[in-house]
Amino acid sequence: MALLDLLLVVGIIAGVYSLLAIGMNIHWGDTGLLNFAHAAFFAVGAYTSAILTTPVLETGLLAERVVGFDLPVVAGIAAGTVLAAGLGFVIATTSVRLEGDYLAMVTLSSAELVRLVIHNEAWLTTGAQTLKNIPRPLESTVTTLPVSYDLFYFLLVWGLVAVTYLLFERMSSGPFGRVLHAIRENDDVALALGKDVSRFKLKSFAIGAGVAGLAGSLWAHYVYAISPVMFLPSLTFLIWTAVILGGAGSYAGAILGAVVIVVLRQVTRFIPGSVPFADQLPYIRLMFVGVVLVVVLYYRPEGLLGNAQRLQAGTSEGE
Amino acid sequence: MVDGRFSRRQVVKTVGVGGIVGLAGCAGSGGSGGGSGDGPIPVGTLAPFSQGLGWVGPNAARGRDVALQSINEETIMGREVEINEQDTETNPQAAVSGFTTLNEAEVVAMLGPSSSVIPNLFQPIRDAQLPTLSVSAGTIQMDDVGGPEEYLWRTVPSDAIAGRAQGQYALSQDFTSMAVTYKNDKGSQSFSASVADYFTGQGGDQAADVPLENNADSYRSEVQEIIDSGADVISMTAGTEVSALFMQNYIQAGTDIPLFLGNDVLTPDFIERVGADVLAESPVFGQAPAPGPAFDQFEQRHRDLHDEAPGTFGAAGYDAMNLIALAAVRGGAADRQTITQNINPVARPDGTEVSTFAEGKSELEAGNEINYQGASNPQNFDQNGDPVGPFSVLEVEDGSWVKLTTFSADELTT
Repeated sequence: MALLDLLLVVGIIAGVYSLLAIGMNIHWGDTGLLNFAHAAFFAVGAYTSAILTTPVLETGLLAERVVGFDLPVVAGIAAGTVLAAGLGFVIATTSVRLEGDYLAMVTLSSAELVRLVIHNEAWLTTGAQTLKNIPRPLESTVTTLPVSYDLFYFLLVWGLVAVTYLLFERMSSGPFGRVLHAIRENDDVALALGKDVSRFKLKSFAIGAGVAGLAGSLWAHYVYAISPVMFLPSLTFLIWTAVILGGAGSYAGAILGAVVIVVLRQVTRFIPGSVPFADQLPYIRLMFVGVVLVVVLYYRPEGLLGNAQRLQAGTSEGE
Repeated sequence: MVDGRFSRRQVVKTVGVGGIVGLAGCAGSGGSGGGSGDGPIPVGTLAPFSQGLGWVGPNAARGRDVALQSINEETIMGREVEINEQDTETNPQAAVSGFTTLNEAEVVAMLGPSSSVIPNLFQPIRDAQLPTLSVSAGTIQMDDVGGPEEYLWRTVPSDAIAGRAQGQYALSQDFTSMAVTYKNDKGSQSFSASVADYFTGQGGDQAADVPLENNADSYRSEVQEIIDSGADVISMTAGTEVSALFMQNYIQAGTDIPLFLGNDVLTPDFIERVGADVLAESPVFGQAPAPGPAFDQFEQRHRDLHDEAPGTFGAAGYDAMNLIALAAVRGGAADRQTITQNINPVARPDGTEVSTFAEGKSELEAGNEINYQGASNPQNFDQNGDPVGPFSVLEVEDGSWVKLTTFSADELTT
């Protein structure tokens, strides 16, 4: 049973990462936007949902938070998703006309800005301290059933991953997605066809951010407690790795990339502490992920499930 | 693959390879057999071995290994202890993953993590009914959590107790106005809040509250803000990196306001970094838990085993490992429930005082109750699984930290 429990927890983490990767994929894979603010969207989803669904019960010297609403979890998750989408819209409004590196810099600094606000506004977020006692959805009901709560949450998360995947696949292959693809390949082409490029970029940014917010809400309600150190830029880079590994532009690839990353990180936890360099395992773990990325890109430059034709679009091979 | 789609064969191949890799990794855990059988008894260590608090885990693990050496010589009902070490990476997400891995490996008890991640594990620890002894979490967020019902203890005192020691010494020196400054993180905030709360509660005045951002190039403006506040004593809690830079700017400012340091910088490394002469000449003090009754013998055995003096939290790791092993011996079984029910009884004040596993095992096998006296403190737990013990105030003399005075546990809790 313990092994099943472990697999369920790993599965839940993989599901949350998959949602993040789906959000990143609409930005980069479909629209070609270099977004480095994903950790911020994740954080906004997590904190919004946590603040809305917890009462202000903390006591003691570190209890600085004065805002809490004790609303139902579903309201928190919905608000977390919407607010993250709103943040995506705001960041994109100020930066969507920027290209490539410049957009990357603005989004990365925006993400750090959001994290530092969370870190310092203790009246709202508990600041550097842990915002704890976040309720789990339907916990009292599920614990009366003959299934473990982790199994329930696993099914909930992967159910949402499935729904999101189907929606985004459909969107990507529809008229909206085709415009995004045109923007990805060449802004001017889309513009020449009469498309409002900025508006489409804004929509893409907001939708992807919303999914990241949904992932953040689900994560907060699973882990009971959140703090700003959970939303460092390294999380964004990890999701980038997942999307590239799975194949930019492919939603199934984004999910597979996220699962591979989570499994790789978990597998290396079974390496015994007695092996040489065991004290360097966290760093070796990242190097391992990097090596896998290099190997995959060497043999399949388009990623595990990516589209080779998409990779060649806009190049002499693809013309 | 055509038009962005992928063939069923590709999916099956990719998922298959991923699945095999995943299952191979999971199978590698071996299932260990948990607390039953004749094999080694699996005990977990979940601590930060990397990132921000990466120095805590190795220190605690070295202390734990001193206890382990004796435990495996004596054995617990003929069985040795096998350690499964997991890194929290000073990050709650990695901590949850590490905890789940230990739970899957069916460890019977766990040396637990630091303040930065432990709130994320309160509920998982309860759900898994896994007795956990944190070796470094001083946070006051844990003051009302713990004990056998919660499967949670800690072998280091709460920051609330440590803060009292600093506050009492400041008041005893007739300081009336204190500035608190701290690294803007969870642990440092917790300690500083405790100091300020006690100091102001006893009639002192808090002149300034100055957070120090991590990775700053200079703290000159913060030092100046403190000087301008008119404080006659400064309490700083900021870890080695930030404390060293703050000290540099504090000395450059030429101020003579006495400065209190947190216990995590009362190390030979910090003296070397800032300079023994500078620290000896400046009005700099530190406070730390007074060494427990068994510290001297622990320190010697630590030097014998590791060829170095124990670091901060080393003695707490030693105590946690001994308490787990003695609880198993007292209960006559190495499983989670037995250890949970026997942690408090092996540290009860009315038993025969013992300070090593060998002594405790011998007394327990003779049918006597024991009172484990630890290396980091006496390990007398309150109802929330927190130890209360004496604290010392120290200063630098001839290149090392030497004791100025000690406050007893009674003085700090009444």
